[in-house]
Amino acid sequence: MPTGDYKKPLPVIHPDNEPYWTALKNHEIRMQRCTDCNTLRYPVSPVCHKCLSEGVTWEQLSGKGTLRSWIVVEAATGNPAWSEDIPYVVALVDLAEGPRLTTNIVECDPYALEYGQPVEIVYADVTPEVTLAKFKPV
Amino acid sequence: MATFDLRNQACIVGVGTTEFGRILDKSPIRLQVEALRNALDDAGLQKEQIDGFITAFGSPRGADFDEYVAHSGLNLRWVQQFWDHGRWGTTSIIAAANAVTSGVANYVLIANTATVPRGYGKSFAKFSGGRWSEGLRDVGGGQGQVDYHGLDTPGAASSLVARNYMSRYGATDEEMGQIAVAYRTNAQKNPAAIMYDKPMTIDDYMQSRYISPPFRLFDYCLTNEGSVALIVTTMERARQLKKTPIAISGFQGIHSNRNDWIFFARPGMGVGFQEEGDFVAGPQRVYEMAQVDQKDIDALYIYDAFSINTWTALERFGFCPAGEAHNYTKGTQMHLGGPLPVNTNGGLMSEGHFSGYNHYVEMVRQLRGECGERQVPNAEALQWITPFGDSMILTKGS
Repeated sequence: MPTGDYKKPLPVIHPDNEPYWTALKNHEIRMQRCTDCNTLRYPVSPVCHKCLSEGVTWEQLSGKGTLRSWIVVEAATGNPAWSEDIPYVVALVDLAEGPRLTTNIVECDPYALEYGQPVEIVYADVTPEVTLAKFKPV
Repeated sequence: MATFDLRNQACIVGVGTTEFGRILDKSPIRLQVEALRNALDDAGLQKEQIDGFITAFGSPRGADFDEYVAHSGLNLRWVQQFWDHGRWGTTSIIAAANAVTSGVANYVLIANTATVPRGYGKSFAKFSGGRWSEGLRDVGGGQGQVDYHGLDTPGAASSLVARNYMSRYGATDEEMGQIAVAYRTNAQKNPAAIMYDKPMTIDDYMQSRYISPPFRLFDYCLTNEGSVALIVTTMERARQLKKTPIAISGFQGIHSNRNDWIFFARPGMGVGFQEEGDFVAGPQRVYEMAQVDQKDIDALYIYDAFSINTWTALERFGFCPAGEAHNYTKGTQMHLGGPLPVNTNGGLMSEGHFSGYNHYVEMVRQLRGECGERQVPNAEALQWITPFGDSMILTKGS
Protein backbone atom coordinates (compact mmCIF):
# COMPACT_ATOMS: atom_id res chain seq x y z
CA MET A 1 0.00 0.00 0.00
CA PRO A 2 1.22 3.54 -0.66
CA THR A 3 2.33 5.67 2.26
CA GLY A 4 0.10 8.52 1.09
CA ASP A 5 1.10 12.01 2.11
CA TYR A 6 3.31 11.06 5.03
CA LYS A 7 6.69 12.64 4.20
CA LYS A 8 8.58 12.07 7.44
CA PRO A 9 11.12 9.30 7.98
CA LEU A 10 9.74 5.84 8.69
CA PRO A 11 11.39 3.00 10.58
CA VAL A 12 13.20 0.43 8.49
CA ILE A 13 11.22 -2.75 9.12
CA HIS A 14 13.15 -5.96 8.50
CA PRO A 15 12.90 -9.55 9.77
CA ASP A 16 14.86 -8.88 12.99
CA ASN A 17 12.52 -6.13 14.20
CA GLU A 18 9.27 -7.06 12.41
CA PRO A 19 7.45 -8.45 15.51
CA TYR A 20 7.95 -5.13 17.33
CA TRP A 21 6.38 -3.14 14.50
CA THR A 22 3.64 -5.69 13.85
CA ALA A 23 2.62 -5.49 17.51
CA LEU A 24 2.40 -1.69 17.33
CA LYS A 25 0.33 -1.99 14.16
CA ASN A 26 -2.03 -4.18 16.22
CA HIS A 27 -2.00 -1.51 18.94
CA GLU A 28 0.05 -3.49 21.37
CA ILE A 29 3.55 -2.71 22.64
CA ARG A 30 5.77 -5.77 22.98
CA MET A 31 9.45 -6.14 23.77
CA GLN A 32 11.82 -9.07 23.82
CA ARG A 33 12.52 -11.05 26.98
CA CYS A 34 15.49 -13.40 26.80
CA THR A 35 14.47 -17.01 27.43
CA ASP A 36 17.96 -17.79 28.77
CA CYS A 37 18.78 -14.93 31.15
CA ASN A 38 15.37 -13.24 31.48
CA THR A 39 16.64 -9.78 30.39
CA LEU A 40 13.92 -7.48 29.01
CA ARG A 41 15.74 -5.80 26.20
CA TYR A 42 15.46 -2.62 24.17
CA PRO A 43 16.20 -1.59 21.48
CA VAL A 44 15.05 -4.54 19.41
CA SER A 45 17.89 -6.94 18.67
CA PRO A 46 18.30 -10.44 17.24
CA VAL A 47 20.53 -11.27 20.23
CA CYS A 48 20.60 -10.67 23.97
CA HIS A 49 23.29 -8.12 24.83
CA LYS A 50 23.78 -9.84 28.21
CA CYS A 51 24.18 -13.50 27.20
CA LEU A 52 24.16 -13.49 23.36
CA SER A 53 21.22 -15.91 23.29
CA GLU A 54 18.79 -15.68 20.40
CA GLY A 55 15.86 -17.10 22.40
CA VAL A 56 13.03 -14.64 23.06
CA THR A 57 9.44 -14.23 24.04
CA TRP A 58 7.70 -11.06 22.88
CA GLU A 59 6.25 -9.80 26.13
CA GLN A 60 3.30 -7.44 26.13
CA LEU A 61 3.91 -4.22 28.10
CA SER A 62 1.44 -1.92 29.82
CA GLY A 63 2.07 1.16 27.70
CA LYS A 64 2.29 3.21 30.87
CA GLY A 65 5.28 5.23 31.95
CA THR A 66 6.64 8.48 33.28
CA LEU A 67 8.17 11.48 31.56
CA ARG A 68 11.91 11.70 32.33
CA SER A 69 12.73 14.72 30.17
CA TRP A 70 11.98 16.35 26.86
CA ILE A 71 12.92 19.03 24.38
CA VAL A 72 10.59 21.20 22.33
CA VAL A 73 11.81 21.30 18.75
CA GLU A 74 11.20 24.82 17.46
CA ALA A 75 13.15 24.69 14.20
CA ALA A 76 13.36 21.72 11.83
CA THR A 77 17.07 21.71 11.10
CA GLY A 78 17.10 18.12 9.83
CA ASN A 79 14.39 16.75 7.58
CA PRO A 80 12.20 19.71 6.48
CA ALA A 81 9.10 17.48 6.65
CA TRP A 82 9.05 18.11 10.40
CA SER A 83 8.32 21.82 9.87
CA GLU A 84 4.58 21.22 9.84
CA ASP A 85 4.73 19.84 13.40
CA ILE A 86 6.74 22.71 14.93
CA PRO A 87 6.72 23.05 17.90
CA TYR A 88 6.80 19.35 18.78
CA VAL A 89 8.03 17.41 21.79
CA VAL A 90 10.75 14.74 21.73
CA ALA A 91 10.89 12.98 25.06
CA LEU A 92 12.49 10.25 27.09
CA VAL A 93 9.78 8.07 28.64
CA ASP A 94 10.55 5.46 31.30
CA LEU A 95 8.17 2.55 30.77
CA ALA A 96 6.67 0.97 33.87
CA GLU A 97 8.50 -2.26 33.01
CA GLY A 98 11.89 -0.52 32.82
CA PRO A 99 13.08 0.39 29.34
CA ARG A 100 13.52 4.06 28.43
CA LEU A 101 12.08 5.07 25.07
CA THR A 102 12.96 8.05 22.91
CA THR A 103 9.54 9.11 21.65
CA ASN A 104 7.09 12.00 21.24
CA ILE A 105 4.58 13.47 23.66
CA VAL A 106 1.39 14.36 21.80
CA GLU A 107 -2.04 15.70 22.75
CA CYS A 108 -0.39 18.17 25.14
CA ASP A 109 0.75 21.76 25.57
CA PRO A 110 4.48 21.42 24.79
CA TYR A 111 5.24 24.19 27.27
CA ALA A 112 3.25 22.73 30.18
CA LEU A 113 4.96 19.36 30.69
CA GLU A 114 6.40 18.32 34.04
CA TYR A 115 9.26 16.04 35.01
CA GLY A 116 8.02 12.68 36.23
CA GLN A 117 4.45 13.13 35.06
CA PRO A 118 2.60 9.94 34.14
CA VAL A 119 2.09 9.26 30.46
CA GLU A 120 0.46 6.51 28.44
CA ILE A 121 0.95 5.17 24.97
CA VAL A 122 -0.78 6.56 21.89
CA TYR A 123 -0.71 4.29 18.85
CA ALA A 124 0.00 6.71 16.03
CA ASP A 125 -1.01 5.07 12.74
CA VAL A 126 1.12 7.26 10.50
CA THR A 127 0.76 5.09 7.39
CA PRO A 128 -1.28 1.97 6.62
CA GLU A 129 1.86 -0.08 7.38
CA VAL A 130 3.48 1.80 10.22
CA THR A 131 2.30 2.64 13.72
CA LEU A 132 4.61 4.63 15.99
CA ALA A 133 4.59 4.43 19.78
CA LYS A 134 3.94 7.96 21.02
CA PHE A 135 2.75 9.04 24.45
CA LYS A 136 0.32 11.53 26.00
CA PRO A 137 -0.11 12.87 29.52
CA VAL A 138 -2.56 10.79 31.57
CA MET B 1 51.21 -0.79 31.71
CA ALA B 2 52.00 -1.06 28.04
CA THR B 3 54.22 -3.78 26.65
CA PHE B 4 56.01 -1.07 24.69
CA ASP B 5 55.92 2.40 26.22
CA LEU B 6 55.15 4.94 23.49
CA ARG B 7 55.46 7.97 25.76
CA ASN B 8 57.32 10.67 23.79
CA GLN B 9 58.35 8.17 21.11
CA ALA B 10 56.32 9.81 18.33
CA CYS B 11 55.64 13.45 17.65
CA ILE B 12 53.86 15.94 15.43
CA VAL B 13 56.34 17.70 13.18
CA GLY B 14 54.20 19.56 10.68
CA VAL B 15 50.80 21.23 10.65
CA GLY B 16 49.02 22.84 7.74
CA THR B 17 45.64 24.41 7.20
CA THR B 18 43.73 26.16 4.47
CA GLU B 19 41.65 29.25 4.92
CA PHE B 20 38.63 28.47 7.12
CA GLY B 21 35.27 29.78 5.89
CA ARG B 22 31.57 29.09 5.89
CA ILE B 23 31.73 28.60 2.11
CA LEU B 24 35.00 28.44 0.18
CA ASP B 25 33.68 26.75 -2.95
CA LYS B 26 36.85 24.75 -3.41
CA SER B 27 36.77 20.98 -3.90
CA PRO B 28 37.92 18.66 -1.10
CA ILE B 29 40.91 17.58 -3.19
CA ARG B 30 41.99 21.16 -3.87
CA LEU B 31 41.65 22.06 -0.17
CA GLN B 32 43.38 18.97 1.13
CA VAL B 33 46.36 19.36 -1.22
CA GLU B 34 46.71 22.96 -0.08
CA ALA B 35 46.76 21.81 3.56
CA LEU B 36 49.35 19.15 2.62
CA ARG B 37 51.63 21.73 0.94
CA ASN B 38 51.43 23.92 4.04
CA ALA B 39 52.15 21.01 6.40
CA LEU B 40 55.15 19.87 4.30
CA ASP B 41 56.52 23.40 4.31
CA ASP B 42 55.94 23.68 8.08
CA ALA B 43 57.85 20.44 8.70
CA GLY B 44 60.57 20.96 6.10
CA LEU B 45 59.65 17.69 4.38
CA GLN B 46 59.21 16.73 0.73
CA LYS B 47 56.08 15.05 -0.60
CA GLU B 48 58.16 11.98 -1.47
CA GLN B 49 58.95 11.40 2.21
CA ILE B 50 55.30 10.86 3.19
CA ASP B 51 54.70 7.10 3.18
CA GLY B 52 51.70 6.72 5.48
CA PHE B 53 48.26 8.33 5.37
CA ILE B 54 45.18 8.42 7.58
CA THR B 55 41.89 10.08 6.73
CA ALA B 56 38.43 9.93 8.20
CA PHE B 57 36.61 11.22 5.12
CA GLY B 58 35.11 14.70 5.20
CA SER B 59 31.50 15.64 5.65
CA PRO B 60 29.34 15.41 3.70
CA ARG B 61 31.91 14.70 1.03
CA GLY B 62 35.64 14.69 1.63
CA ALA B 63 38.22 12.64 -0.17
CA ASP B 64 38.66 8.88 0.10
CA PHE B 65 42.27 7.85 0.62
CA ASP B 66 42.65 6.28 -2.80
CA GLU B 67 41.30 9.24 -4.75
CA TYR B 68 43.50 11.56 -2.68
CA VAL B 69 46.55 9.45 -3.48
CA ALA B 70 45.71 9.51 -7.17
CA HIS B 71 45.33 13.29 -7.18
CA SER B 72 48.28 14.13 -4.94
CA GLY B 73 50.76 11.59 -6.29
CA LEU B 74 51.64 10.32 -2.83
CA ASN B 75 53.50 7.01 -2.69
CA LEU B 76 52.29 5.15 0.40
CA ARG B 77 53.02 1.86 2.12
CA TRP B 78 50.46 2.21 4.93
CA VAL B 79 46.97 3.72 4.86
CA GLN B 80 43.95 3.78 7.13
CA GLN B 81 40.50 5.29 6.62
CA PHE B 82 38.01 5.84 9.43
CA TRP B 83 34.24 6.32 9.56
CA ASP B 84 32.95 9.63 8.20
CA HIS B 85 32.45 11.35 11.55
CA GLY B 86 34.20 14.12 13.39
CA ARG B 87 35.46 12.06 16.27
CA TRP B 88 38.60 10.34 15.02
CA GLY B 89 41.31 12.90 15.75
CA THR B 90 42.84 11.11 18.71
CA THR B 91 42.33 7.68 17.15
CA SER B 92 44.10 8.89 14.00
CA ILE B 93 47.08 10.27 15.89
CA ILE B 94 47.37 7.13 18.03
CA ALA B 95 47.32 5.05 14.83
CA ALA B 96 50.00 7.29 13.33
CA ALA B 97 52.16 7.00 16.46
CA ASN B 98 51.81 3.22 16.35
CA ALA B 99 52.66 3.18 12.64
CA VAL B 100 55.85 5.22 12.85
CA THR B 101 57.16 3.47 15.96
CA SER B 102 56.44 0.02 14.54
CA GLY B 103 58.04 0.98 11.25
CA VAL B 104 55.15 0.35 8.88
CA ALA B 105 55.63 3.99 7.84
CA ASN B 106 58.17 6.74 8.51
CA TYR B 107 56.11 9.88 8.01
CA VAL B 108 52.34 9.65 8.40
CA LEU B 109 50.08 12.35 7.01
CA ILE B 110 46.71 12.86 8.71
CA ALA B 111 44.49 14.99 6.49
CA ASN B 112 40.78 15.74 6.56
CA THR B 113 38.48 18.14 4.80
CA ALA B 114 35.06 19.58 5.51
CA THR B 115 32.64 20.78 2.87
CA VAL B 116 29.00 21.74 3.42
CA PRO B 117 25.87 21.20 1.32
CA ARG B 118 25.43 24.92 0.62
CA GLY B 119 29.10 25.18 -0.41
CA TYR B 120 31.09 22.81 -2.59
CA GLY B 121 28.73 20.06 -1.45
CA LYS B 122 26.21 21.40 -3.97
CA SER B 123 28.30 19.80 -6.67
CA PHE B 124 28.00 16.40 -5.00
CA ALA B 125 24.32 16.60 -4.04
CA LYS B 126 23.12 14.84 -7.16
CA PHE B 127 25.10 11.74 -6.20
CA SER B 128 23.66 11.47 -2.70
CA GLY B 129 19.98 10.72 -3.14
CA GLY B 130 19.92 7.97 -0.52
CA ARG B 131 17.53 8.31 2.42
CA TRP B 132 19.56 6.18 4.82
CA SER B 133 20.50 7.73 8.12
CA GLU B 134 22.14 6.40 11.28
CA GLY B 135 19.03 7.47 13.14
CA LEU B 136 17.13 4.74 11.29
CA ARG B 137 19.24 1.93 12.73
CA ASP B 138 17.47 -0.26 15.28
CA VAL B 139 19.72 1.26 17.96
CA GLY B 140 19.30 4.83 16.69
CA GLY B 141 22.01 7.32 15.82
CA GLY B 142 25.36 7.84 17.45
CA GLN B 143 24.06 10.89 19.29
CA GLY B 144 20.81 9.19 20.24
CA GLN B 145 18.82 10.25 17.20
CA VAL B 146 15.59 8.46 16.28
CA ASP B 147 14.61 9.97 12.97
CA TYR B 148 11.00 8.80 12.87
CA HIS B 149 10.32 10.60 16.16
CA GLY B 150 11.77 13.84 14.80
CA LEU B 151 15.01 13.59 16.75
CA ASP B 152 16.97 13.61 13.54
CA THR B 153 19.98 15.85 14.13
CA PRO B 154 23.00 15.55 16.42
CA GLY B 155 22.11 19.00 17.76
CA ALA B 156 18.59 18.14 18.85
CA ALA B 157 19.83 14.90 20.38
CA SER B 158 22.55 16.78 22.27
CA SER B 159 19.96 19.25 23.48
CA LEU B 160 18.24 16.33 25.16
CA VAL B 161 21.53 15.55 26.93
CA ALA B 162 21.66 19.18 28.05
CA ARG B 163 18.07 18.98 29.32
CA ASN B 164 18.88 15.90 31.37
CA TYR B 165 22.00 17.56 32.73
CA MET B 166 20.20 20.77 33.65
CA SER B 167 17.30 19.02 35.35
CA ARG B 168 19.57 16.63 37.25
CA TYR B 169 22.08 19.22 38.46
CA GLY B 170 20.15 22.49 38.44
CA ALA B 171 22.19 24.16 35.71
CA THR B 172 20.80 27.29 34.03
CA ASP B 173 20.66 28.73 30.51
CA GLU B 174 22.94 31.59 31.58
CA GLU B 175 25.53 29.11 32.82
CA MET B 176 25.40 27.17 29.56
CA GLY B 177 25.80 30.43 27.63
CA GLN B 178 29.17 31.01 29.31
CA ILE B 179 30.61 28.19 27.21
CA ALA B 180 29.90 29.77 23.83
CA VAL B 181 30.94 33.18 25.16
CA ALA B 182 34.31 31.83 26.38
CA TYR B 183 35.19 30.27 23.03
CA ARG B 184 33.99 33.30 21.09
CA THR B 185 36.08 35.54 23.32
CA ASN B 186 39.16 33.38 22.72
CA ALA B 187 38.54 33.49 18.96
CA GLN B 188 38.90 37.27 19.00
CA LYS B 189 42.65 36.71 19.24
CA ASN B 190 42.74 34.19 16.37
CA PRO B 191 42.60 35.89 12.95
CA ALA B 192 42.06 32.48 11.29
CA ALA B 193 38.84 31.88 13.24
CA ILE B 194 35.62 32.18 11.29
CA MET B 195 34.14 34.21 14.17
CA TYR B 196 37.17 36.51 14.49
CA ASP B 197 36.12 40.13 14.89
CA LYS B 198 32.64 39.05 15.99
CA PRO B 199 32.66 39.32 19.79
CA MET B 200 29.66 38.00 21.72
CA THR B 201 28.34 38.76 25.20
CA ILE B 202 26.11 36.68 27.44
CA ASP B 203 23.28 39.07 26.53
CA ASP B 204 23.83 38.31 22.85
CA TYR B 205 23.63 34.62 23.72
CA MET B 206 20.45 34.96 25.76
CA GLN B 207 18.80 36.93 22.97
CA SER B 208 19.68 34.43 20.24
CA ARG B 209 16.87 32.27 18.93
CA TYR B 210 15.98 28.86 20.23
CA ILE B 211 16.49 25.93 17.87
CA SER B 212 15.53 23.10 20.22
CA PRO B 213 15.39 24.42 23.79
CA PRO B 214 17.47 24.41 25.89
CA PHE B 215 19.73 24.88 22.84
CA ARG B 216 19.91 28.28 21.25
CA LEU B 217 21.68 29.03 17.99
CA PHE B 218 25.01 29.61 19.75
CA ASP B 219 25.00 26.24 21.50
CA TYR B 220 25.82 24.76 18.09
CA CYS B 221 29.24 24.72 16.45
CA LEU B 222 29.80 26.16 13.02
CA THR B 223 29.37 24.32 9.75
CA ASN B 224 32.02 25.31 7.28
CA GLU B 225 34.65 24.42 4.69
CA GLY B 226 38.39 23.94 4.90
CA SER B 227 41.12 21.39 5.41
CA VAL B 228 43.63 20.44 8.10
CA ALA B 229 46.80 18.33 7.81
CA LEU B 230 49.23 17.02 10.42
CA ILE B 231 52.43 15.01 9.96
CA VAL B 232 53.62 12.47 12.53
CA THR B 233 57.01 10.78 12.76
CA THR B 234 59.35 9.36 15.41
CA MET B 235 61.17 11.59 17.88
CA GLU B 236 64.46 10.39 16.44
CA ARG B 237 63.59 11.61 12.92
CA ALA B 238 61.90 14.73 14.28
CA ARG B 239 65.12 16.00 15.79
CA GLN B 240 66.55 16.38 12.23
CA LEU B 241 63.64 18.60 11.13
CA LYS B 242 63.31 22.36 11.28
CA LYS B 243 60.91 22.98 14.16
CA THR B 244 60.64 21.91 17.80
CA PRO B 245 59.05 18.45 17.80
CA ILE B 246 55.79 18.23 19.73
CA ALA B 247 55.78 14.98 21.65
CA ILE B 248 52.82 12.63 21.84
CA SER B 249 53.15 11.96 25.56
CA GLY B 250 49.96 10.18 26.52
CA PHE B 251 46.76 8.94 24.96
CA GLN B 252 43.67 6.81 25.37
CA GLY B 253 40.99 5.81 22.89
CA ILE B 254 37.27 6.34 22.44
CA HIS B 255 35.44 4.21 24.99
CA SER B 256 32.31 2.35 23.98
CA ASN B 257 29.74 0.16 25.65
CA ARG B 258 25.94 0.24 26.08
CA ASN B 259 26.23 2.96 28.70
CA ASP B 260 29.06 4.80 27.01
CA TRP B 261 27.65 5.05 23.57
CA ILE B 262 26.02 8.43 23.03
CA PHE B 263 28.72 10.51 21.43
CA PHE B 264 27.95 13.77 23.20
CA ALA B 265 27.29 12.42 26.69
CA ARG B 266 29.50 10.93 29.31
CA PRO B 267 28.15 7.79 31.04
CA GLY B 268 25.22 8.32 33.37
CA MET B 269 23.34 10.93 31.34
CA GLY B 270 20.42 8.62 30.53
CA VAL B 271 19.94 9.47 26.87
CA GLY B 272 18.82 6.83 24.40
CA PHE B 273 19.13 3.47 26.17
CA GLN B 274 22.07 4.68 28.29
CA GLU B 275 21.46 4.24 32.02
CA GLU B 276 21.08 7.37 34.13
CA GLY B 277 22.91 7.68 37.41
CA ASP B 278 25.82 8.99 39.40
CA PHE B 279 29.19 9.31 37.72
CA VAL B 280 32.67 9.38 39.18
CA ALA B 281 35.69 9.89 36.92
CA GLY B 282 38.09 7.02 37.59
CA PRO B 283 41.82 6.99 36.89
CA GLN B 284 42.56 7.82 33.27
CA ARG B 285 45.31 6.06 31.34
CA VAL B 286 46.24 9.26 29.51
CA TYR B 287 47.69 10.79 32.70
CA GLU B 288 49.45 7.62 33.77
CA MET B 289 51.08 7.29 30.36
CA ALA B 290 52.11 10.96 30.11
CA GLN B 291 53.23 11.01 33.77
CA VAL B 292 51.30 14.21 34.47
CA ASP B 293 47.94 14.98 36.05
CA GLN B 294 45.17 17.56 35.65
CA LYS B 295 47.06 20.28 37.54
CA ASP B 296 49.99 20.07 35.11
CA ILE B 297 47.82 20.93 32.10
CA ASP B 298 48.40 24.48 30.79
CA ALA B 299 45.42 24.61 28.42
CA LEU B 300 42.65 22.23 27.52
CA TYR B 301 41.05 21.38 24.17
CA ILE B 302 37.51 20.00 24.04
CA TYR B 303 35.42 18.56 21.20
CA ASP B 304 32.84 21.36 21.39
CA ALA B 305 30.38 20.37 18.67
CA PHE B 306 27.67 21.45 21.12
CA SER B 307 27.94 23.44 24.34
CA ILE B 308 26.96 20.53 26.60
CA ASN B 309 30.07 18.61 25.49
CA THR B 310 32.23 20.95 27.54
CA TRP B 311 30.47 20.06 30.78
CA THR B 312 30.37 16.32 30.18
CA ALA B 313 34.01 16.22 29.02
CA LEU B 314 35.30 18.23 32.00
CA GLU B 315 33.50 15.87 34.38
CA ARG B 316 34.58 12.77 32.51
CA PHE B 317 38.25 13.67 33.01
CA GLY B 318 37.89 14.82 36.60
CA PHE B 319 38.51 18.54 36.16
CA CYS B 320 35.50 18.88 38.44
CA PRO B 321 33.09 16.39 40.03
CA ALA B 322 29.96 15.24 38.19
CA GLY B 323 27.29 17.92 38.29
CA GLU B 324 29.67 20.78 39.03
CA ALA B 325 30.93 21.72 35.58
CA HIS B 326 28.18 24.31 35.21
CA ASN B 327 29.74 26.15 38.16
CA TYR B 328 33.31 25.45 37.02
CA THR B 329 32.83 27.12 33.61
CA LYS B 330 31.57 30.45 34.95
CA GLY B 331 33.31 33.76 34.41
CA THR B 332 36.76 33.78 32.83
CA GLN B 333 37.68 30.22 33.90
CA MET B 334 38.11 29.05 30.27
CA HIS B 335 39.21 32.36 28.74
CA LEU B 336 42.74 33.14 27.56
CA GLY B 337 44.42 34.47 30.68
CA GLY B 338 41.97 32.57 32.89
CA PRO B 339 42.84 29.80 35.36
CA LEU B 340 42.75 27.04 32.69
CA PRO B 341 42.19 28.30 29.14
CA VAL B 342 40.03 26.01 26.99
CA ASN B 343 39.94 26.01 23.19
CA THR B 344 42.34 28.92 22.72
CA ASN B 345 41.65 28.78 18.97
CA GLY B 346 37.93 29.41 19.48
CA GLY B 347 37.01 25.74 19.16
CA LEU B 348 34.52 24.18 16.76
CA MET B 349 32.08 26.87 17.88
CA SER B 350 34.13 29.89 16.85
CA GLU B 351 37.21 28.84 14.86
CA GLY B 352 35.39 26.24 12.78
CA HIS B 353 34.27 22.62 12.77
CA PHE B 354 37.27 20.72 11.52
CA SER B 355 36.49 17.72 13.68
CA GLY B 356 39.04 18.73 16.29
CA TYR B 357 41.99 18.39 13.92
CA ASN B 358 42.13 22.19 14.12
CA HIS B 359 42.39 21.96 17.92
CA TYR B 360 45.40 19.67 17.46
CA VAL B 361 46.99 22.21 15.12
CA GLU B 362 46.44 24.86 17.78
CA MET B 363 48.01 22.63 20.46
CA VAL B 364 51.13 22.21 18.30
CA ARG B 365 51.41 25.93 17.60
CA GLN B 366 50.89 26.81 21.28
CA LEU B 367 53.61 24.39 22.39
CA ARG B 368 55.96 25.85 19.78
CA GLY B 369 55.17 29.37 21.02
CA GLU B 370 53.79 30.51 17.64
CA CYS B 371 50.45 31.93 18.80
CA GLY B 372 51.24 35.62 19.19
CA GLU B 373 48.55 37.54 21.04
CA ARG B 374 46.80 34.36 22.17
CA GLN B 375 49.94 32.54 23.29
CA VAL B 376 49.51 30.64 26.56
CA PRO B 377 52.61 31.65 28.57
CA ASN B 378 55.07 28.80 29.17
CA ALA B 379 52.80 26.19 27.58
CA GLU B 380 54.44 22.82 28.24
CA ALA B 381 51.60 20.27 28.47
CA LEU B 382 48.28 20.54 26.64
CA GLN B 383 45.42 18.05 26.70
CA TRP B 384 42.61 17.08 24.36
CA ILE B 385 39.46 15.59 25.94
CA THR B 386 36.01 14.51 24.76
CA PRO B 387 32.80 13.33 26.46
CA PHE B 388 33.32 9.94 24.83
CA GLY B 389 36.59 9.13 26.52
CA ASP B 390 39.44 9.67 24.08
CA SER B 391 42.24 11.95 25.13
CA MET B 392 45.76 12.97 24.24
CA ILE B 393 48.46 14.92 26.03
CA LEU B 394 51.05 16.73 23.92
CA THR B 395 54.19 18.24 25.38
CA LYS B 396 57.07 20.33 24.13
CA GLY B 397 59.70 17.85 22.96
CA SER B 398 63.43 18.19 23.34
